Order: sequence, then C-alpha cells, then structure tokens
Amino acid sequence: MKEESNILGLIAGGDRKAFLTLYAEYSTLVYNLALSFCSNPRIAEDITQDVFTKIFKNAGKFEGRSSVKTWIYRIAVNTSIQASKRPRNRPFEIIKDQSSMQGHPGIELEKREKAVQLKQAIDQLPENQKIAFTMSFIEELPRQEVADLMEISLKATESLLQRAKKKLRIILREVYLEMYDA
Amino acid sequence: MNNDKSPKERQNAWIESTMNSYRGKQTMSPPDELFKRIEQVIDKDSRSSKKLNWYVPFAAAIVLLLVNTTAVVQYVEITKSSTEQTTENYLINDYNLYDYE
Repeated sequence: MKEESNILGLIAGGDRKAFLTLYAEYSTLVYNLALSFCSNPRIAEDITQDVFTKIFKNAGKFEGRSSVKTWIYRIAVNTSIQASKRPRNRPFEIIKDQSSMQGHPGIELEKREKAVQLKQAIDQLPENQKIAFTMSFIEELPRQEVADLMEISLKATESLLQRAKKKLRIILREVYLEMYDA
Repeated sequence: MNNDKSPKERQNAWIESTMNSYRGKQTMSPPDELFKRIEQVIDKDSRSSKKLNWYVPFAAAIVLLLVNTTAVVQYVEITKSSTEQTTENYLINDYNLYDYE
C-alpha cells in the first residue's frame, strides 16, 4: 500500500512510467467496473479514459485515508454514474446503439438476454442501491470492500443490498408477466 | 422451460436465473491503444492549461483596467453631479434670499 502511495506521489510529479505501472495494474479493473455499469464496450473505454485522466490530475490529492484500490474504485464508480446520467451528446450518444442492446460482452451468449433485462432493472434502482448491487453481485466485491467504497457501515451495506434485491425481484416479476402472460 | 413446474415456480426460477445472469462473467481487457489515447488527452489538457496560464495575467489586467476605468468614470460623474447640485442649491438659496427681500 505504501508502495502504491509512492507511485501516486511520482504520478503527481508527472512521472509517466509510474502512471503506466498504475494503469497496467488497474485498467482491467476499471474497464470491467465501467462495463458492469454501462454494458457497452465503447462507453466503458470512455469511462476508463476519464478515470485515468482524473487519477493523473488528482494523484497529488490522495491522502492515504483509504487504499489506492478503494480510491480508484471510488473515482471509477462516480465517473460511471456521471456517464450514465450524461445527455445523448458526445461519446455517450452511442448508449442506444446496437452494442448496448447486445449486453455485457463478458457474459455467455445464452445468458445475455437475461443480463440485459437485469441491467435495465438495475437502472431503475435508487443510486445507492444500484452501486451496492453492482459492486456486490456483478463485480463480486466482498461486502466490507463495498462498505468502504461507499463510506457506509457493513450493516447499512447489507440493508441496501436486501432492499435492492427485493425491488429487483418485483421489477423482474413484472417483466416476466409481460413476456409470458401477455 | 420445465413443464413439470407450476407457473409460480417457473416465474421464480426465471427471476432467480435472471438475477444471477452476470455470475461467472468473463473479465474483459481494455483495448491496447487506450493508454495512448489517455496520454494524448493528458498532453492536450496540460498544453491548454499552459496556454491558459499565459493568458490569465493579460485577462486579469484587462479586467482590472476595465473595472478601474468604470470606477473613475463613475467617480467623475458623481463628483460632477454633486458639484452641479451644490451650485444649484446655492442659486436656489440666493434666489430665496432675493425672494425674501
């Protein structure tokens, strides 16, 4: 952890080699997190680019109150949430394109349709439930890590997840009834 | 879908399998050229911020000049109008004196 803080110190001084080291370590994590939030490879690339630009600019502001990983996760979650709210201009106009309808590229083809339906249901959750569910059930992060990331207690995280799952089941039930009972 | 299950069971099975549809997803790698793109963005930002740094003192000087000019003009106008008013008052007073006489 101390070593990683040192890397951030070097990056704050403009060291590109240190930046490349950090990128090599965390780019896959950030890219997959962005994919979990947006299910679109092109938007995930834009989010990853934004996240690492922010890391480069703000490396000097890292105070070591959390681990470097948690700090990066936090930037990535905030950037992903902002991107999902962005109007259909700039790179995010492609939200409605074909690739987002095809779902997360890392999911087996036979599960893709269900994954798209789950993603649409997740998008209807309140923001904190959406973050907790995505980090816990899609990114499969340990509960404590989700709590640290969201700066809430473990108990509050559990409660958010319970509410998120309950609401998702209600939304999915409606989807099922529309599909098979119509 | 399994026909041995009741409609409710089928519904619940569908919901649970949808809830778990992300489980076991593959980890994806970002494209190789992404780092280069990020570096280009950082370079562009740093160039424009340098340009801005060079520009800031000039912009500040122009703003100060404008503010000062406006302040001087306002001061002159206020002084002028107050002088005119004082003169006017004197004239009125003089007139009043004559009037009383």
